[in-house]
Amino acid sequence: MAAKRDENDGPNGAPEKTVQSTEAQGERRRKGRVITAKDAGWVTPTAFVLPIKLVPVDPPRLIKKKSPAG
Amino acid sequence: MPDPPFDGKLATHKPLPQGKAFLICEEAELDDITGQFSFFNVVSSLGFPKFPAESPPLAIYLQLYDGIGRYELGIELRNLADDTSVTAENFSSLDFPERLVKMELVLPIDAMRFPRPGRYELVILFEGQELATQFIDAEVSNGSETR
Repeated sequence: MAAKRDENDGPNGAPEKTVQSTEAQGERRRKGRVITAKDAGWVTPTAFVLPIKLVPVDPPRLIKKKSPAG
Repeated sequence: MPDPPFDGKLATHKPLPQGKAFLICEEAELDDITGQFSFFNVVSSLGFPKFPAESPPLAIYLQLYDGIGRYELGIELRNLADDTSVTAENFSSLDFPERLVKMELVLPIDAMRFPRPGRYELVILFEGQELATQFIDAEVSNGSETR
């Protein structure tokens, strides 16, 4: 006897996992620590954090494009 | 034929590292236990109610290989409508301890200023040369700021 289909079931009768996946992602997200400017420096042996502050170029500077000949 | 006279300058042809990933996102997180990064809301366009506009805080992530020694780093935001550099900074240097080491670089940015709507290009410079580029579209929008 076929099991009763739920409104959340997928096309093959298996429950859709999108809702669960989203919840799992939310849980995973809370495990991390947001990187901010205060983390400046090495955060792992091969990962470096460099906070940057872009300064306006006034007047805007024309970009020198390389010619096709190089 | 004799060699040309030595002018005291040595040509330096240190190869640039290879950029394997370049992401612009709203938030980068580090898992202190595994040392792995997670990225949230990867940004390809920004919507603003009016211009000039300033973006919310963003984070840039770069993954690099094949670097040799020390490089001077810079970043530029270019307006592609008129090929001008609108904001820039030469911010630091990066030392590759070994050539085969995969280096990850996270660059938190307070804000980016966009003078007018259009397509912009964020450029990462190593030794003054373009290493990686990424487009950002700045658009007029009354809804969410990033997409």
